[in-house]
Amino acid sequence: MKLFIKYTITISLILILFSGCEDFKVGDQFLEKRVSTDATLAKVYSKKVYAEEVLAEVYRSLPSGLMTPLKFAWMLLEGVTDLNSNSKPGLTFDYGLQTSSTGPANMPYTIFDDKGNRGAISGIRNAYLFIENVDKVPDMTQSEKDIRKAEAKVIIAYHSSDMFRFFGGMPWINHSYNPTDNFKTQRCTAAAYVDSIVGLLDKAAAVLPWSVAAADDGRITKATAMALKVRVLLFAASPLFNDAAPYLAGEAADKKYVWYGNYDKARWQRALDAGMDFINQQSQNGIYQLVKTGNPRADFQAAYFNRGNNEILISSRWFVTHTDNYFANGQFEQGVAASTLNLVDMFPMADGTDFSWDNPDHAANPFFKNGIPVRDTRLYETVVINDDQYAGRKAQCYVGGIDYIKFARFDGFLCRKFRQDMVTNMGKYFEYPLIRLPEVYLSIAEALNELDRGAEAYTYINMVRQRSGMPGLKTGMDKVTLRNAILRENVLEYAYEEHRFHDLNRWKRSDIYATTAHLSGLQINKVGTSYTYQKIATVDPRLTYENFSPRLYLQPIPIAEVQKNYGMVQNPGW
Amino acid sequence: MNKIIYLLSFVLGLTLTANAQIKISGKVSDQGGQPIRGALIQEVGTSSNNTISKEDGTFVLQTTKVNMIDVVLADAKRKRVLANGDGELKIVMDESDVIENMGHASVTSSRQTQALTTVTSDEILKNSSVSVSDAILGLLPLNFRGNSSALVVVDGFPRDWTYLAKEEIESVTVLKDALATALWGARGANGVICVTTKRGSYNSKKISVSYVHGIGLPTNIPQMADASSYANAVNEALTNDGLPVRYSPTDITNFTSATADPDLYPNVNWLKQAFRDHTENNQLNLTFQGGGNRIRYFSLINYKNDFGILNPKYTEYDGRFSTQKRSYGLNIRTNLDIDVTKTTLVKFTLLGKLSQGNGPYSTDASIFNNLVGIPSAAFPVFTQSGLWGSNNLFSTNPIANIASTGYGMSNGQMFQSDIRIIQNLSMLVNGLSAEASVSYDNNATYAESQSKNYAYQVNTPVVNSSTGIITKNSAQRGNESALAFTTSLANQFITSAIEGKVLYDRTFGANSLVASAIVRQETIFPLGRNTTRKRQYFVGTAGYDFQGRYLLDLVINQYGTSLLSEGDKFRTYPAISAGWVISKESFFNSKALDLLKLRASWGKSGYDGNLQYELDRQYWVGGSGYTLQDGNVSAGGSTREGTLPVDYVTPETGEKLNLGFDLKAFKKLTIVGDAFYERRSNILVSGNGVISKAIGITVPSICTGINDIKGYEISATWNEDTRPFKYYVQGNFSFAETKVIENNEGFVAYDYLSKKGRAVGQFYGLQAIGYFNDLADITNSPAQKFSIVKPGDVKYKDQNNDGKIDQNDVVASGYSTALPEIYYGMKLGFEYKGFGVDVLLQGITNYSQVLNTPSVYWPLQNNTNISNWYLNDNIRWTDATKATANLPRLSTINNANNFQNSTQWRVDGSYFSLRNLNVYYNLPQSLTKKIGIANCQVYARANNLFTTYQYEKFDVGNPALTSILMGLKFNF
Repeated sequence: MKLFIKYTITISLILILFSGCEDFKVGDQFLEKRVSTDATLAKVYSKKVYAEEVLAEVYRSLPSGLMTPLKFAWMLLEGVTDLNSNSKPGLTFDYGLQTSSTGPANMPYTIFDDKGNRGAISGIRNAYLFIENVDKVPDMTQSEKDIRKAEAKVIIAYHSSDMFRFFGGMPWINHSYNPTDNFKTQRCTAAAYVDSIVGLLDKAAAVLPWSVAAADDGRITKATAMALKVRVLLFAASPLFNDAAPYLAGEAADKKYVWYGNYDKARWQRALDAGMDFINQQSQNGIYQLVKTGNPRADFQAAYFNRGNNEILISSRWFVTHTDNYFANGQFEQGVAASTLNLVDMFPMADGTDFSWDNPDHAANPFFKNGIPVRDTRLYETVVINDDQYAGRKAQCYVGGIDYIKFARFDGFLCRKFRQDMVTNMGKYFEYPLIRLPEVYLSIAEALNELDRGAEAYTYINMVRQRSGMPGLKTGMDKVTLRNAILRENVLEYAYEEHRFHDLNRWKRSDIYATTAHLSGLQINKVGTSYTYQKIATVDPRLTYENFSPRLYLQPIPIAEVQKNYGMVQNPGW
Repeated sequence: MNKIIYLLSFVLGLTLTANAQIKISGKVSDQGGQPIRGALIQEVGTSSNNTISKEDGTFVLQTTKVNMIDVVLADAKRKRVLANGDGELKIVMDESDVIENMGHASVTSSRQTQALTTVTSDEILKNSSVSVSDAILGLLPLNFRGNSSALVVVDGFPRDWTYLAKEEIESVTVLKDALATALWGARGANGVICVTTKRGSYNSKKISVSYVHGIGLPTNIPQMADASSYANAVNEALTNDGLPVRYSPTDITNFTSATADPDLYPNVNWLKQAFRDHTENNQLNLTFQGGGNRIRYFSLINYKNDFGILNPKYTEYDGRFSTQKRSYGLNIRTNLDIDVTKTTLVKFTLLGKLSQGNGPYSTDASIFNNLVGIPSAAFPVFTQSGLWGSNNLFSTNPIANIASTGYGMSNGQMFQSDIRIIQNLSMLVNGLSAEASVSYDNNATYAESQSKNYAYQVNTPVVNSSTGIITKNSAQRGNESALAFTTSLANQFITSAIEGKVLYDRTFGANSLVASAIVRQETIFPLGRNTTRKRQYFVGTAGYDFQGRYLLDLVINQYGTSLLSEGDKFRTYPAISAGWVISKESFFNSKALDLLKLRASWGKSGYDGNLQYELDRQYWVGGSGYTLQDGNVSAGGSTREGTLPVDYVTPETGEKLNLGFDLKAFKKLTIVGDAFYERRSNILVSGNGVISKAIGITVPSICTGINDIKGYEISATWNEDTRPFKYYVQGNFSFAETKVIENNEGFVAYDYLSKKGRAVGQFYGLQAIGYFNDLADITNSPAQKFSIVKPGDVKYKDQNNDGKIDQNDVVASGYSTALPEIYYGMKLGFEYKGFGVDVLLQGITNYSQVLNTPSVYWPLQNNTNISNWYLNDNIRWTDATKATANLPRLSTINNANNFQNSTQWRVDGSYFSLRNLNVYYNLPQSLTKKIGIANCQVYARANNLFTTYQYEKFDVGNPALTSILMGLKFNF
């Protein structure tokens, strides 16, 4: 027995020695999780500073149009249109070949993103979570809370408006769901969806300040809400939704998810009214104006690139700075963003007349004459033009030159917007404009024209043109000519800002899509100190457009969601 | 107390002979009749009354009553016999006495009602595989009973076993049914592999030295197309795509011409360049096994090295470092058993392991993908000017990727230890003992690497448009950079466990009772956050048998894990089993039949291996930040919601039923058969099927999945020893069928899309029904919109007749791609006058595989390569081969249509392999004795000498090796 006690003690001692006294626990206490730094919901809403971080993540859900591997498989939305070619070898260019089961990373727009912090649906969820919980924060005033909630609402409306542009009417999400909630949410009709978005924007605009101080730059303002309303209503008034017949028959068309069901001119009026409301507020409160210092080229650059320029009404700041990781010069140079001659040819001469290769003077000096630029200044900021200042030297886009795209099927040009001179943008703080002030002006002009008040439209178009040093448009155009002139002005102003894609779809421009099967490039040869130009019809693998289908005006809803059978009716043709 | 026992004994029909002295004498020997020295003979219930067998195997033990005695040999074999003092006991220790270790408990086959399979050191050592796990793989089906990822236990504690040397292993037992796996609670349901290391025996000494030299021959390396075949294939593909061809007829001739400039017309067999024809490895092993009266030891020093497969011409290219894939390992083990007093045994188990590895800085995946993916016509290894070759399209030179990107080195240090103290308490209560044990393992790997960039040259042909003469334009790209040094603690984990156990083991005449109570705590503490796992067991076991004829066992495990929710950490796993040894019944009278036992068990065990802490609670985690300020200001912090919690977190539950029999006849035949059924419930399945993604965050999983697994296993062994000739033959067969009962898949549009009722991992895909003959065929067939379809593309069956091919046309075919249903094998061998041969054959069937390796099976698209498999071994679709083609047309474009998951790429995954061949010769002892060696063996072994595949899928990653070993072994 003595022996037994002796050894029991020895055993205990050894056990304690081995396991370390502080860790020695028995029962449930032993099974506790080790410390970690995870935060709970209560902690997140215990202080203003944490709550603001939640809202910052909501802002982060705003999309960027620049190329990243996270979106559309490195491609640009412009590359689906006539403006650009994503002709880097090895890029999976399957736009138009996508199906309802194509993975989200290869789609031009992702609604459902499992990553949790990007994509419309997760942005909306995060916004609602903020709205539902911010009242718990002790160290924020009620008005602060209301303003922040209104910001979150505009972000919900922004995502919803994007879904509207890509899919039509979608289920209206009005709170953050729990997994146990009933998900039997039907799609809304296009009409109801537009009204829901507009309703949310009106509510937010009533609370938001017209503008914010520089320390809050990047935040949503009343101006953002009102400008977004113009965009949504203009899109809804466009023929894709507002027409005598649907763009394609199908269940979603029958249920009016993808159009209004008729044509009503009043929808253009509603868009115009929203635009005029903005103009009224602007004249009362000021602040927002086009960047216009008298140096058109620098002004145009500052207009889309600089933070706090009072022209950008809402922007995305996905990244901190421009770096090679997501906005890779290497990708550009290998042909991800090769501008087409179709885009370049849209830019008029500096005097406002159209450019034409049939004009011998134009053909001999398409870009510079005696070293002086001959075209709309915006061309030189949108596309890298041979012989222009670039990367601290002259651009060499001719065959064999440094900037000659090595693999592209489109020789002669590459994108300059956002990249600028390839050097000075790197390391600069990032901003991608989602709505700029000119959009409001050009939208008003478009609505006026559709309401047969074209004569009043020129004022608004010319405001935009003047900033770039361009003369006013020749007046007296008929309705169709003016409409095309406005769509063209959109290209000159917004190339690489994701407008063209939506313009083509909302105006059902299958004719322009058809041209993308035969896009052109320009072969520039250096002969001595001068250049010769040869227009080349290039081979592009956009085989889709040989058999263009109107189903491409709206994207397919992911099959997995349709298959859950809760009311996600597939868009026509998919 | 005595009264009660007396009463009990009376009831149980026992006669007590109080205080009489009984002298038990006997002799212990092995099957071959050789006496066994150093076996421990102890009285059951009063194990402090014991003795040790002498050199001639004899022993004498005094007791006071008729009782059972246990004969224990080096903790590896145990036999329980009735000793009544009448005459000399003849005790033969054979394989039915092997201790089958289950971690907290052990059993021998005569008492066993569990479903277990055990292999012992003899069999493991015969195997030609260098690593233990590979050796075991051939001997036991590790993905047994429809499950994978079994728990591995070494000497009673969950541990990694890949580092062990074969020479240190005594036995490996696989726990299969509920009674065995319930001991391991929610770690046991996928099966448990219990490894027991060797220990010493009393009063003996054995020193063994062995040296093995091995070579490994790469097998199963894909053959990629040579330059001209590649160029022809690319041209064919471009023509198919309606694009201009890339190589002119002159180009193609130049690829085979000796005079053409190799910078422009290379023809490189990258795989051949990269690998040498064999690897070499050496193993030196030294073991000391034995003991005295009170101390027993087993000690091992094992040194292994392996000189890799890469071509030394390139691995030493840089001069400053080698990138050869090399590994070195040193195991030092000491297992000590000390009888501190007559009643106290202390067991130490210590293993230290040092290992080192070296290799290129580039990852294996990058090396292999480039070797396979870069066409032989792309560029030369070195250009004429001595720089690495490359071109703009591929940029990585597969050889420079091995030779010139730097090196990586790993340095592993591991220490494993446990101590177990066993105190006999028969002075308090007869048959009682207590055990306490602690384990502590620490394993760390340090990594060091130096990386660099290399300069390469790009050569492009320039054709003079007037003369047609081709010159080359050379440009250097990239730069040689300095070596960038990094070092890190690549991985570290600490595991520790502590266990207390009280055991009651007694016989009352013909009745035996074994009962135990176990408390155990385990901690696994790896690097990183939220990775620590803690587990706690409260186990009760009880076993009863009557005359070894009727057997009954019970296990109850109250098991807790830190992974479960607060206040809900414990689950109960009960199991019960019964055995009936019919051959011991008096009515059973057969000379031929030595044993017939029926076994049945039912119970539960669980699996918590795939649970995570995050499952049951909501956390908020840091986002990537966002800037809300004017000008050049970096991002402010942001916070976002983590994954949503699972509604009710619980481990997978396996409810297992097992029916088995053991049969022995003619002293030579052994047949073991088992049939099993398992219902696996609470499987964590995705909620995606029923919850809309409109929730806006990753849909949480739910613990509601159910699978059924049923099957049977049978093995028959014939073992005959008519010395000098002895031989054995064993055949085994196992079948396991899995079936999904509930998977939360939600709504499916068509019945055939449902995965319910199908095997786990069942292959699903479109049904390929040939190739489109021509444009008319395409027009007249259901629309396939995965990509633009042309003649020669795969044509699929429209299962739902809706006129289009999409995900609704996916059907089940073939078998599971996860696990084969059938494993079968054969072991045979003989020995004659010291010369012997052992053969191990193994096969699997009812298994599907998918061929999807780019370049090898999926050629050319996205600038990949093409293999001879595609070009020569099969018939691809062309205009001329329409009728016989079994592969689609070539295409350079991303051809999504052809590369859908479909029966086109599904193949039969069956194989049959000569896994192991062992030929040996034991030198005559008359000869070896003269030079003081007990015995000496020379042997040659080979593994995977041949394998017949139904379809040979090339291994991606390291090439598979056939290894051939030559060894020499001395025992002193």
